[in-house]
Amino acid sequence: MFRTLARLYVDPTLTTAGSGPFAGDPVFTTHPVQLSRWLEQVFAHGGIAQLPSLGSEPVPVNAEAVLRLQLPAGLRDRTADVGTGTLESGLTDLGVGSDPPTFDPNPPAALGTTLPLVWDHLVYAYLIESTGILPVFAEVVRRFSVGETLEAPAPQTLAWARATEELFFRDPPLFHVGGLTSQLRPDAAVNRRNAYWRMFGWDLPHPGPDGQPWKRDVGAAANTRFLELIGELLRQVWLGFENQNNSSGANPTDDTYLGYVCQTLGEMLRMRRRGGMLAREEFSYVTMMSWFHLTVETDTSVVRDLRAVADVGGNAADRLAGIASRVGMTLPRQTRELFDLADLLSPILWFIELGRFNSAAQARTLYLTSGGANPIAEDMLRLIDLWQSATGARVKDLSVVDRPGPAVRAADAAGGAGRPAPARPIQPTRLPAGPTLSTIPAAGARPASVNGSGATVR
Amino acid sequence: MSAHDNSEHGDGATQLAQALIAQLERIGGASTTTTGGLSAVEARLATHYALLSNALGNFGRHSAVRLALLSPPPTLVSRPGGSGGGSYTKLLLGPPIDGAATVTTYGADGRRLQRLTYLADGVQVQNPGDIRTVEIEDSRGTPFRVGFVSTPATTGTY
Repeated sequence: MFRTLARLYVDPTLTTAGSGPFAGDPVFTTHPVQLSRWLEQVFAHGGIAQLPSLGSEPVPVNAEAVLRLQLPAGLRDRTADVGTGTLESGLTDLGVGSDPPTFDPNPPAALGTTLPLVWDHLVYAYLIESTGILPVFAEVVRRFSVGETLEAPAPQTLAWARATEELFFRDPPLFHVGGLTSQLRPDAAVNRRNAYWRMFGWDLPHPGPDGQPWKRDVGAAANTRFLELIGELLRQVWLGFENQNNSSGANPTDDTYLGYVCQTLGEMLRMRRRGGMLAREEFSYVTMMSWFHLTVETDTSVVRDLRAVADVGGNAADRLAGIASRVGMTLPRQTRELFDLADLLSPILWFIELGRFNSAAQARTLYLTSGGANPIAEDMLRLIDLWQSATGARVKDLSVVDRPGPAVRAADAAGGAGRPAPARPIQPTRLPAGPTLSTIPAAGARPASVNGSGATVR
Repeated sequence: MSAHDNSEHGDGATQLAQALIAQLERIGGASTTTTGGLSAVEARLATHYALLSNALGNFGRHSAVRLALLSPPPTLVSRPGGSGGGSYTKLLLGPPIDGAATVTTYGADGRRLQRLTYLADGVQVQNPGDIRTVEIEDSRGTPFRVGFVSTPATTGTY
């Protein structure tokens, strides 16, 4: 979300062709109270629900939930009919035209709020956090605050450190949409892990508090099949891509099955969102991670001060690795892939949740690359490359079926240890030719758990 | 002696071979069109995906060049005139858009309202209050720009 704000600062209508990334410093030097209020204004517009509909597809973000959770319009925006806008951000074209950005006292609608401003899917937050970016910057901010073990920061860096601490390392303002810690759930890190676990059945690769409290009281409502299904989706897409130009002989591509996998994934994810559950969490976590992502996406003042410059064309992972080394930390080797995966998987999962690949005709757009530009297939192919590189799963080698069990952590992508489960067909509902009752072994005859044995750290 | 020379001399076998090749090329071409290209519906899906991807900040990242997909917010302008001395509403789409052939309007529920020929100085629309988004299409009917109507037509005359 903050990455989009960085673009809005230079392209307020998002209509100018040009390539990112966009400089983060103007955003970082905006007063945190304005940023905090801007988030309220953006949340109130409903995110993905604004995307133009293609028909009667489901909308993952519950519009009524947003309506009931948002700040009342009269506080949020100052318009003739609805109120005083006491809590408006004042972030407008005029306001951000100066350095540092100011509060526009008589504003039109805030930046981006007349556009279909969509926030990322929760998977974006998971993947960015898996890079270890949060503990690195927590340590950077702490060191800037308590001593001089790092070089004296430039004023812009100091503004970033102040805004970072205010926005993400203390309780948000009362009644703020991001107010997700309380006496009932005091640990923000546990709360984030809880959301990731429920939505994807994934743990972060770095260790968390003892006892895995984020799994407590979740019940059976964690999407532990998510990893299995996403792997199957990638394999089926690759199968389609390989065979799309077959003009003779067999074509094993099954668009109907591909659509079925997408439908299953979408339904699984939407189950966790019923009634607007996880709406605030998702918004807050993707927003938080986009702040840190923006920090290392270009050679910002912070990056320069910490001597982690990667120049134009450099990547976020290299900058983050440089910063991590300044505070004595090491990143997982898949950091670069995780950054790229986050960008690519987020829109794909939104589309899957919107049900836009459910039919066979729609599902084939996931792999068709001949006959014109197809950004969906382009992203999917890149995603497959990155997934292979990050997880070691051999998606393109269709003779190898490496199906992890439902409890395996997708954190394989970031160095976590996965435990392979016995291979089994993934589409039993379509081909109900499984074992009969007489062939199912008795419970006592089942093989012992292999938890922990044979796990490989990638 | 080349096949070309043979054909010039009216070699029947060569002519037959060339006819067969031409036939195979036709079959191949038809096959590619059927299995390879995106249909209009699929192309629209792809455009919407690119729109979402851009809105999320992937504009120009990850090697794939993404064109601008959002058009400046279209505006609805009510003007006196039209049949019966009433007024009519024009949808203004901003600066002329290269390659635009048609304009399709959609309601909030994604229902298609009207498909109209693109005119740089605006197109006349019906039921302006229902219009939520506008898609600008090329001569093949593939949308390449999407615009969100910023001001509802029901709030008065502009």
